[in-house]
Amino acid sequence: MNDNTVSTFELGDALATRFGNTLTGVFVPGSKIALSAYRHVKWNSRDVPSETAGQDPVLIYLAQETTLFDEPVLRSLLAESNITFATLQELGQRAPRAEYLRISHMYRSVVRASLERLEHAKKSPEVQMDEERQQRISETVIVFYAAECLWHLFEILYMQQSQLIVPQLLDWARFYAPQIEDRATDFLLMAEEASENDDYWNVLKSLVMVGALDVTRAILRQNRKASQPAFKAAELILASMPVYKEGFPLKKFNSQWEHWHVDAERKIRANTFGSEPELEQILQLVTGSNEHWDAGIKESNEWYEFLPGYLLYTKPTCKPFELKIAAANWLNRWTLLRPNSQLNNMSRMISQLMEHDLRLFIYDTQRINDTNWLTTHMIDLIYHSGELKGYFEQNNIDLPALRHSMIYEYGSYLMSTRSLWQLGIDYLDCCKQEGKAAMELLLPRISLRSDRHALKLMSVARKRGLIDVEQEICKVLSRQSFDDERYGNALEWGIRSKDVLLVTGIADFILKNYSQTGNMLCPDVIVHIKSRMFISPRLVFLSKYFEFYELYRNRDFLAAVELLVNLLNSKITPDYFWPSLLIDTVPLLESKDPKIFSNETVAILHHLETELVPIIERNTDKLGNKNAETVFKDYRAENIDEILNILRLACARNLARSLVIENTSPES
Amino acid sequence: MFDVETITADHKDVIHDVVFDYYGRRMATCSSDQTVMIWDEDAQGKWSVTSSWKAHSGSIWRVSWAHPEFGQVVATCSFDRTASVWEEVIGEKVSTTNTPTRRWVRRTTLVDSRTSVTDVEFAPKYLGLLLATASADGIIRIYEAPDIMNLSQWPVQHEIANKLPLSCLSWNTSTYMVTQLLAAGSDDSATPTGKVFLFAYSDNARKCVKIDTVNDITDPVTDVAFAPNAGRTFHMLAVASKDLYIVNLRGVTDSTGTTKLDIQTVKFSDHNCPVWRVCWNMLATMLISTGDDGCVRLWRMNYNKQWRCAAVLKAEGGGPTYEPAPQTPTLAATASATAKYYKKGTIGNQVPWH
Amino acid sequence: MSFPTVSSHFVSEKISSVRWLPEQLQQSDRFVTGSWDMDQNFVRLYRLQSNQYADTNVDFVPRCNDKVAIEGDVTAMEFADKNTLAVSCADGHLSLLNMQRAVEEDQLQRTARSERLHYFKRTNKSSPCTDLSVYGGDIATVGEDGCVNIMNASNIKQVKRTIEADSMSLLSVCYISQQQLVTANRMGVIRILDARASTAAQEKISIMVGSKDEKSSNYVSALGTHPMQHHILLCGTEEGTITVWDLRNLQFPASYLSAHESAITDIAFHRNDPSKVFTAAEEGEVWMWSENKGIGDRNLHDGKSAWLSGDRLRSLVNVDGVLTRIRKAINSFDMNGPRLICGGDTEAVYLVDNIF
Repeated sequence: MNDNTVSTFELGDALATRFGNTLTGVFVPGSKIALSAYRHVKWNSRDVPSETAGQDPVLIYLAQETTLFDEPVLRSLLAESNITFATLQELGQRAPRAEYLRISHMYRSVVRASLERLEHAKKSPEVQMDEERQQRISETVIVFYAAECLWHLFEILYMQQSQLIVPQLLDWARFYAPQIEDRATDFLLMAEEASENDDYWNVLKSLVMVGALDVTRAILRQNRKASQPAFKAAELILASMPVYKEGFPLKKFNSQWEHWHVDAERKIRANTFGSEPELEQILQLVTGSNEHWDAGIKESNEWYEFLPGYLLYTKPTCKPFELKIAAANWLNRWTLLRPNSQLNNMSRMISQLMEHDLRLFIYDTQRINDTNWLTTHMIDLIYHSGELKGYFEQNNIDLPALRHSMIYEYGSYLMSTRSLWQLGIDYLDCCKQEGKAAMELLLPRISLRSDRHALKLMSVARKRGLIDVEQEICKVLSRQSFDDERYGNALEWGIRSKDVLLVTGIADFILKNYSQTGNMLCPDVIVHIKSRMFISPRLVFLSKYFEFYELYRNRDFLAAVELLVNLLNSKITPDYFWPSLLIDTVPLLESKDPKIFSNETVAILHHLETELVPIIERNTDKLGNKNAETVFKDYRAENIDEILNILRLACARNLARSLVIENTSPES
Repeated sequence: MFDVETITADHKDVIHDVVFDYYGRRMATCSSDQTVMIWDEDAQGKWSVTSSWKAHSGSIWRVSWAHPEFGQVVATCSFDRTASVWEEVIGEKVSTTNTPTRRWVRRTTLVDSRTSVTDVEFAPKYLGLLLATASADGIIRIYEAPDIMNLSQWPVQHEIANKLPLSCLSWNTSTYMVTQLLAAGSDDSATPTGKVFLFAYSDNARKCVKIDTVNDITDPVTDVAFAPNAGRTFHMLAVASKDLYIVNLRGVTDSTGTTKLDIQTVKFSDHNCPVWRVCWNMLATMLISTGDDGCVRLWRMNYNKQWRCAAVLKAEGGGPTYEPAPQTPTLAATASATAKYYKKGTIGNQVPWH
Repeated sequence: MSFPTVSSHFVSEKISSVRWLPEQLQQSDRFVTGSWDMDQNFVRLYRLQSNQYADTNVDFVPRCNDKVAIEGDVTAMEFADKNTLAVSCADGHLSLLNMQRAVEEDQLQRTARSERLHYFKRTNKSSPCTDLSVYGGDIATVGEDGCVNIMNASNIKQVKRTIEADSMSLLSVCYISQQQLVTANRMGVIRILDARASTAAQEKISIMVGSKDEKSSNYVSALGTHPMQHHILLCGTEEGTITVWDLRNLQFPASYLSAHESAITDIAFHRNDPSKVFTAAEEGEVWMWSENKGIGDRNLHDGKSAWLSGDRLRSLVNVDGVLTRIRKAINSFDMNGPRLICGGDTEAVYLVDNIF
């Protein structure tokens, strides 16, 4: 299956064709390619503007492969076939044959329903005004009509239980060539006057050649001369033609048919229809006269049009393997009689199916302009039903690998288009490790349009155990919110992501902001964090500090003090926050009625000397005195020395007072 | 068939690098005119420049976008021997109804290199916020921002010296059995030795060291790119050199327990001319190569796991003209007559679920 | 007893919201759908017509009579009156659409579009309007900017009041009475707001749903109130659980039910028969919860809805899978007598008849 011809596309960019320049391209996430003029420069060339600078416009081309999937009405086909696909996966490979046939029916009815919708849409006023859309819909109809026709034939020849395919082939051929039946209906309505039409006999011949004998007989019966002996004899022959029914012993049928055939030929030779040459031609066709069929072939539009009819009259019990030879012969015959005609793609693919050349058929399906819809779903069905396993093995085709690669490609294509991503998921789910890896790469690349959209992506990821993807989306949204100064939103997304660094960073920002401005950002979020604070020690500190902040504002001072002292002892205080934390003790130390006990005051002093002072010293050593003033800023104090002094004084005073109170027993 | 949309860039000179962000909705271009332009795609699919500034005092070679979880950050490298990191910030609001403009501010300039910095690339996100630069003097430097909220600090973590000048580098973004972290290529034409080098972090030496050289490629190398790993058990590296190469790297553990690197190189000479750039798509199912012959080639892997050139995009030609796509089956006459037959069809067109 | 019948109809759009057109005296045979995540989004008006294909057992087939293009994802739809549909959009605006019922082709037209209701203050970027609720002549919208906007349906260009309720995205809103409404955010915090008071004057009452694992978050994605007893509030969560609150007693939830395995996308009491509650989930299912109409029980909960019965709730309701195994999310449903219409990400609408 090697394609030696490589498609070439020309762009026409002036700058890229200038001396020394060439064209370069990069992939854009989402199945696009960006092309632009390029000039290779080495590091040791002089860094000057190129000689062509400023002469030609510098252009960037965004190229995207066109696809019929852009048509909105076609979506129903994609969505419905997606569900059929999922149903088939659940069926597995060991279901009864009839189930696979049912799936095949489902696929085809999905296509037919879509075709009807497309036809309907084509007539709508808004499409009538849009020529480009009209053309696209027309092309879509053509492509999928062909796809369904081929699928139908495939179903008849390879998926059915029944070995006797002629009746089904007749139905198939008639379905896809309905014009003849139109005329037939007309003639039936016209009754006697039908025979005055110029094309009366031609239409009847065509009807016979497509095996529509009932209709032919009905029209003939309405003929004015129906009571004449020739017509009566014709009616007799036509009515008595044996029609094979399932279950009837083959040998007996064959002998009956032979008998009828011989009898009919005899009657013709006996000039029973001499008076009606046209009628005789009809009967010649019915008895399979080569001369007359050859004449018919010359009239047919497609090579396969009259083949089923011919089989009806010459080999009504034709089996699929016999069809192979019959079709090959018929095609040869056709080519000889119509030397100037070319086989179009669909005709060629039909011959491949009939001649059991599936290898080429599958190869050709991949070149249909349906973005591989037909080939992917059909190969998947073949794989599951197991019908043609032998064929593929004999021909050295690794069917499972082929199926896997088709589904993978189809699924990843859908996942990289903006609005079809949800459909691609089911396909990638079937591709095991590779599919999961592909989803891991593609899901997070889907541009996040809203919270709801992001939550859906996350739920898809979560269901498949793609924790990384879920967390990544949360991190991106957190960062976006943070950059937009929506801190509450950023914090919540950060908490969802469970990423320590990120949550710490946001908590740092909130604390720093508070110590510098006295404004607590997003209190409504912080109050509800609860047990989730344990993601990061900083978040624990923020949460607990906020608790203190609330207690203080609600004037629940004793509880506030207890919490404050716990915080001081906790060892999770960030360096930059020590001044603020210690300054928080000042009003409590200075307050009229004692709120802080002596041992707590000692603790405060201890922390002051052992934590804050060394931090200040370290920082001053490293970055100079001035820096300490900007780094350790609290909105309540001018500079760091002032803070130290106030604190020491307040502690001393409170210590004195509390010692007195505590050591004074009530009795004395 | 391709649908092509043309964007006019205001660059005064040829664009050296076109790089899209993680989602494909923002684009950064840099040029010999020393400016960087940032483009945005709006909801209707139209691209427009939202920022443009003079970023260096020499031609800018490459741009790299950081992962969006670190914010809107790009890095640029230039002939002027520096690499810079830029971050987008919201400007001040003039009035309540005004939309503040976003602008890009320089967060740091990395001045360690003594020669032109030829490539810059952010590391995969699982490593943190790391940046690697390659210089014409053959030194690779890896920088890290320890505080993701403050991008002004980028201390050097590793410096790896190489004998040959380097023209390009690439991080391995895979998280699967990664031993080779970085690849770099040299465009030196004097020595006949291998021009693609592989580096890894050595736990023993506690630093990044060169662990191997791809000896099959001895011609000057102008671009290297690791393929994104979508479930493969081996790594692929595309190399742009006199020809296009795809190198398969596999870690092989022998009987003594030591892991060796198995290197298989495949050469593609379809271009018949030097290949300047290579670029992988998101799933590494397709590759683009830029040739000196004015053509861009698209490569696909067929289901037999072999790479074949699938399409060629040429710069020449009068205007956008396209060769017709592979033929579509034609059935014009009968297709339009289908409508009325669905009512008589033996298959219903609605499938009830219960 | 007749069994429910389900028919599915593919509409080529992902459906975010679906509503029956209100009818006074007869069963409604018209419904509207709103789409989302499409290249172009629409609100479409459908009418059920008899199926011409006699060979299937589907009685009615919906036919799209008219459509209106909307600038972004449709996030919610509610009827403000018999003919007026309020539609909230991800571009931050609210629209009013008018239905004209006709014999041949019904018509749908946009009659009003609000100013931009939701936006982020710092960057002045539009924020999606995530949900809406109607009561009396008022419409309340909530958005990702954490704000609530209240307007009157007669003039949506004028916002009566804006309440800055939350510093993160609001996911859902529901009126409890003319003056009170509840909002839910991504942390699972539900706030009760006074529609007449400004932001500063709000009493800041909030309750929070719990999560199975206290280290994880659990958002509330769907809110529903009892049609008559408005103090009964149902909250559908990310974990697929239902928390029921009696708004007269906010100390702790009235009941809790572990229901679906995925996030609940929609939850509601049946408008005419409040003994039935419906829930729709992200995994593609719609369940019906019906109160056991046992004789003994009547006396036990003395007119109180089973939903407030705490631990006994599970034994007091039966659950039936009305729609199952759909494989992709069902985003919205609406009931009309014995009929239920559902729509979701499979790009199909599902019509369930004879649900009881």
